[in-house]
Amino acid sequence: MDNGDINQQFLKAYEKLADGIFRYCYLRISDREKARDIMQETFIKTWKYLAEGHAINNLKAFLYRTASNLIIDEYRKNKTVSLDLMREKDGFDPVGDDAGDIIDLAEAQNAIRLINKLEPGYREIIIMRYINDLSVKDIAQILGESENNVSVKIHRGLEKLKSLMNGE
Amino acid sequence: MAKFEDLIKILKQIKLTDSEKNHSRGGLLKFMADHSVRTHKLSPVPRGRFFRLMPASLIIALLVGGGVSFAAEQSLPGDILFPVKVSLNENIKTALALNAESKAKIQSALAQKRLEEAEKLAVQGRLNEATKTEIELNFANRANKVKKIVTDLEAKGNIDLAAKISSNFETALKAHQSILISLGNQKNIDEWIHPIVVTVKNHSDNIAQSRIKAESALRASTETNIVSNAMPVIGEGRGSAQVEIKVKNDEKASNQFRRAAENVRVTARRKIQEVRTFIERQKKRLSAEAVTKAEARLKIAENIIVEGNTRLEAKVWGEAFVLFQQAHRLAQEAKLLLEAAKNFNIEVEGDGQVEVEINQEIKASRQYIETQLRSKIESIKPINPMPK
Repeated sequence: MDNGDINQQFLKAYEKLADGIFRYCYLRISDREKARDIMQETFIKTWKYLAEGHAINNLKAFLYRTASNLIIDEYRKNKTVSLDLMREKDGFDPVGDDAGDIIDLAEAQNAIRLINKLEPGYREIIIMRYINDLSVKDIAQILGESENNVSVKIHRGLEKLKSLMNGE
Repeated sequence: MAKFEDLIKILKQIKLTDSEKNHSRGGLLKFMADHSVRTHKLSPVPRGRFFRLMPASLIIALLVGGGVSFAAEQSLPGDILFPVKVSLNENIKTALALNAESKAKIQSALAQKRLEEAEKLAVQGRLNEATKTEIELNFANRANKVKKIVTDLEAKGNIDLAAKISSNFETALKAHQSILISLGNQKNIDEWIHPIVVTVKNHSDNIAQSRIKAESALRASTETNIVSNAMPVIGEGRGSAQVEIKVKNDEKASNQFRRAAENVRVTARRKIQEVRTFIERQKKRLSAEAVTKAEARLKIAENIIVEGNTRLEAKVWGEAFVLFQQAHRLAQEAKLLLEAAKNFNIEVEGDGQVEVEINQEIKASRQYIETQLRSKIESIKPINPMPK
């Protein structure tokens, strides 16, 4: 594999994982523009890390972990972000400008509002497991927790989400 | 929100639009290009600790993308760019492998690359204590990783993949061992070659054990097929002779092994074809003797495939798998030895071990099936009808 192949491989990983990373960021910070920036920054930082000669065992987990760290930095910058305020802003737009009518905006906003009611720890895990279809093993690597712990949190998060849904 | 499934379905639809994805890809590409060596010129540098003296940012700029990284690919142990090749290019390659098979393929290819480098250095008369040690350490590191992947696969019960990876790696190591020995004799540099050959041999013996273990596990798991196919159950009715044959009819596992055997057959045939094309294209640069030897190996490989086909028909998947694997190994060995003949202009005998092993295996395989059948037939004794 020469250098051209390496570039191609990395871009392939981008094609495959960019949507998932973006979705993960978007559901955690509720700002489309920022979520896109963080997604891009995630890939750039990962490339840089590889370029420095470091080895990465699980590229997917590494990308999510990088994204998660960038989201935390973003939180720190802005302190808490009010979801209601976000909704008023242009940035709160689960549907992109050229997405056509694939998804119903009101339904999507309701779904996001609901998932945002979960405590951050559970929300993050539910997004990764059910919305982005990551394995328990990958999630454990991303969060630096044991698989057992992650499984317990998934179970509890799911119960909480279902009771939130029934409450609506 | 009516159902959990609906909620998930809606949220899964959140994604980048095409223009957003293109825009971000553009930014990423720009970053990758900005760090390319094309924006910098490499000035002649003294040999030695060149990279340690450079600021990290410049190293990245020099190394990512483009020329240096590409030039490093061609470097050999002892060259300035060799550390770039090993620590940058190769780490990126391993990082981008997503599953066990591709990880094993890359680690195995990198281990073989070290041996090819040793061969080139030997030809150039540049093998010395430092380059020899660098090759040995780096080779052992990669070879251990292949072994680890194989062991993990075995532990997970993925024995067909474990058998495939270990077989390919073992063959490659044995071929390189023969090439190195030939070069050592020819160039009279046994002092440096010998320790490398010993290291390679240790690793090839080690991985051979994994292959043998995986292959016997494969055979054992398909053993029941031999009996069930050969001896249809006789008389199930009350009072008739009872036949007690324990047949584990795990259809799923059986299908998996059948597919695995068929896949190896495809790979083996492809490899044979690949060698024939290689001979065709490189005929002018190969000696007649090298071509004759390679063709003889391919002929044996084809015969083994025929033998394997009979096992497939008998639904003895494990045996078929092992035979196809052997055909693949022979073709792979032929290719590696031909490449050495072409690149180094040497005749490599091969240790003949593959052929010997194959003959033994075929004999053993036939005997094994016969014994299994005989013992099962002998065990079929009519027993007294059950009292009514």
